[in-house]
Amino acid sequence: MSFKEEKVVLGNEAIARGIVESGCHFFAAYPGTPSSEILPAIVRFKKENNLDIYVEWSTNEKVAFENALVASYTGKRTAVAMKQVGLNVAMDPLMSSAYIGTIGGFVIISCDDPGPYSSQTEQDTRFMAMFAKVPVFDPANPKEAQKMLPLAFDLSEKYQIPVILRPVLRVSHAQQTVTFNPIIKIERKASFERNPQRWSATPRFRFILHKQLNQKLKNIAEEFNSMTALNFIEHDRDKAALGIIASGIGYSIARDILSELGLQEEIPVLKIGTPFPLPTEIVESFIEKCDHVLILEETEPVMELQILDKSKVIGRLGGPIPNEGEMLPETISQVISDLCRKFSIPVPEVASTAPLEKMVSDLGLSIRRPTLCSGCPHRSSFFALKKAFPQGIFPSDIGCYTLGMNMEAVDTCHDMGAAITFASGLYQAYHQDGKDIPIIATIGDSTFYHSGAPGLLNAVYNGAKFILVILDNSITAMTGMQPTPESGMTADGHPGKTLSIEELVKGCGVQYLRVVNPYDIKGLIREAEKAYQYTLQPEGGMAVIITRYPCIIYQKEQVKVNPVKVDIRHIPPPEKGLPQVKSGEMPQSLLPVFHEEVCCQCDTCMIQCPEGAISKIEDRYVVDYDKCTGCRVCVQECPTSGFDMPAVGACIACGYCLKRFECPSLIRGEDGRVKIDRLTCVDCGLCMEVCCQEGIYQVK
Amino acid sequence: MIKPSAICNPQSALGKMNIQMIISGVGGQGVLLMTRIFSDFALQEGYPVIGSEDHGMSQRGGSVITYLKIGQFDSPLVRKGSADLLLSLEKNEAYKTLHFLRPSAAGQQGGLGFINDSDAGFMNEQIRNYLMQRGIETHIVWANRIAGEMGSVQSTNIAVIGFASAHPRFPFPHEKLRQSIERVTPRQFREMSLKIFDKGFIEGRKSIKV
Repeated sequence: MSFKEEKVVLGNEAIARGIVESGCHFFAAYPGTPSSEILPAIVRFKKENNLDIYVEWSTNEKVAFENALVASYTGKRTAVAMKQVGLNVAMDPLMSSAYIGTIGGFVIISCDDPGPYSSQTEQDTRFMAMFAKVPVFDPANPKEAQKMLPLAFDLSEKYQIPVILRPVLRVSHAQQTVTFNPIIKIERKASFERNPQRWSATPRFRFILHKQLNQKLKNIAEEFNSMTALNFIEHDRDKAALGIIASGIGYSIARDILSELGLQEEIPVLKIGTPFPLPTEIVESFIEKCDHVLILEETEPVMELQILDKSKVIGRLGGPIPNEGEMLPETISQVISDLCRKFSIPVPEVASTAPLEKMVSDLGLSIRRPTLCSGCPHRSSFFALKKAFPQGIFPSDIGCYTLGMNMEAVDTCHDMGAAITFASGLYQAYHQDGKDIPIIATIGDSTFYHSGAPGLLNAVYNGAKFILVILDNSITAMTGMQPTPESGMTADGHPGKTLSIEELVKGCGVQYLRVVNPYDIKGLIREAEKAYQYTLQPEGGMAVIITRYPCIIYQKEQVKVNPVKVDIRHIPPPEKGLPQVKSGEMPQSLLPVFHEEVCCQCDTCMIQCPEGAISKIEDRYVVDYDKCTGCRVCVQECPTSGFDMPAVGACIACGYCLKRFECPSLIRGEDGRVKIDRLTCVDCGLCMEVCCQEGIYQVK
Repeated sequence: MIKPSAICNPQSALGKMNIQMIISGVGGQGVLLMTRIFSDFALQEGYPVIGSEDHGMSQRGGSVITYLKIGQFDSPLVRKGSADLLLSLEKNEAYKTLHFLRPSAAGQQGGLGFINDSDAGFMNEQIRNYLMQRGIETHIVWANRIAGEMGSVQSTNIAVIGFASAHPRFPFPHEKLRQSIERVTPRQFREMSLKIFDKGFIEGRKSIKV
């Protein structure tokens, strides 16, 4: 009976397969695109094959790293996975682990995101490996990633050193036919042997460990020179006008392009699977045989920098390969064709697609920008908060809710947890000048558990006073619905415990805490204003609001329980005729009229007007009718009824809902007026509260 | 020192097939199911597959592009101007992915495109001429109608494949794709999917003039 089974799987599933095929005992991860699918696949293999592997979603990457690292001290094979910026969070233990080393094999999977498609940076994990002084494997495709993992575990165990596997997005998220190999089972009982000189080494011993590490790297580079499964030459020849040294995805792209151009025989390729430490012997002997060498590697010149004699080298350092963005096949094809022409290698002409792309771009097709889902509770939170504090500063964080940017309710997004620290830094910077302005930080539940709490502790301790809104949708939505500590669900169903955000917030020393349903927009506005008042009191402090409502994609039934089907009235009152719908073309009778006699000079209208059409001249407010769209927000917001303007009771195409509510199910029709996209509408009914013209109504 | 790794250099045992294709649409239209159908076909026939998928950060409603390469390929992306096939479920997404289709030097036998839209004449004239001169053939099919009339507008994707399979240069045998659809679609949609696939094929037979 054959164990072999062919399947088309995602790169991350191939990685998971490689991990279980290596007999790994312990796996920890924190979700992050493009790494998130590794853990669920491991859980699947565990269940299907009844494997004895401990699996956890950790609360952050540093935590995951340390858990897996110390498990390797007990002799077990362990691995940890994260996205590339997650490795920044785990940098502290990484640096130290290179010196101290491991016992059981310990493999770090850090998925890079050249492009970038869903990350803050395009950083190259191979540089982190070089910086931390640990070996790194760079797979060219899912198949190779699967194949590399047992080798990485073996290497880690042999040299007692952590090993990094660095797939890029096009490996992690590629799909490829792979063969499932049998899963090996390695018997290892946890056995921690005390060795204080190593496990808790003082600086004096660290010096010795550093020396040992350097020796290990030297030996590993030696070994890499003869590891022909990973580092090999294709179409080797004694002399070549042009050769290519390629690592990871660069190799896959090079192979496809050379075959397309019919140049496989002309241009030898040195494939490098282990870019650090670079197997310099085979690299140098390859360069010697070539007149020129093109280096293809994603994303930074890691191999290029390790090559000492660069006289023949063409790459990123002043070379033709772009220094930012993903290596695209058309770019590399162009680079190779240009070099061939330069070095008199016959190459077929490749027709440019630029004229066609230009014609299409001239059509001015709409670009679908990412937006919060229809019915998303974050949307109503942001709408309410922006409405409560139109002049506030809104530091936010990493997750779906970063898209609150579209609603002008996210001013900063930096790194995990920075909403809270940015808010406290902003507070202190303004407070220093004696000025207190509304600062409203927003952070998701998972991000708060990840690294929000330390920032909150610091804010409370140092006396910062701002509003922190924890957007609690009970799930890590953006990366694919992973559980949070609040759910009490663990990765593989092992017993865990449900944590409470309320208790954690209180534990950070916060005394003002409210839990609000964000679907109650008016209630949230009220609570936000009360919270702000609390922060202004001399004895006040940090105010925390938890807006709790489940992710609409994860729990669709939530809105099905009480659907609010709405429609938009398009018939204007008959006596008025159809209002002109474009800005500045409203009939005078439909525009707001200011009444000086009741005005209390509070500036609310000026601040709230989404078009900036209201200005103050001496002590009266003036509406610029060229800017006014007739949205009627000023009438609704004025506390003394200082504006007069009839509610049309129908859509007048003012665009307020599109701009401030930004629901993908509200779309502009041909005549400019707003209509509902029934395909995506989830009947949340929230938009009814948004339209100031009372044009959206519930259908009975 | 030629040591190509067996793993990185898959050799198909069964004949030759080297097809690069793009499937484009909007999130929720079923681009992924289409990809699974072609992957299943390749797996059954013993052709290696590699591909990748681009989609925005949004859960629904954003652009989705799948790159799929069947045969001797190593990298998942399709180079602009080298796709043999484009299947598109939406007009705008079709426009944005047209440049992937392979032009032909001889002015014929270039890439093949199949686009779902109600208006058979929607294509901008300048673009249409440009494609024609380069031997790139595009066919517009109102697949929404085909699927809708059969009772399942969600199966528009299947109707597009059925329609395309009627083209003499479409590289996948109709009957084999039918088997893949049978394997890949969820049980409750299976019968309906097959009916829509066949209806698409009949429409294709009628309207594709080569």
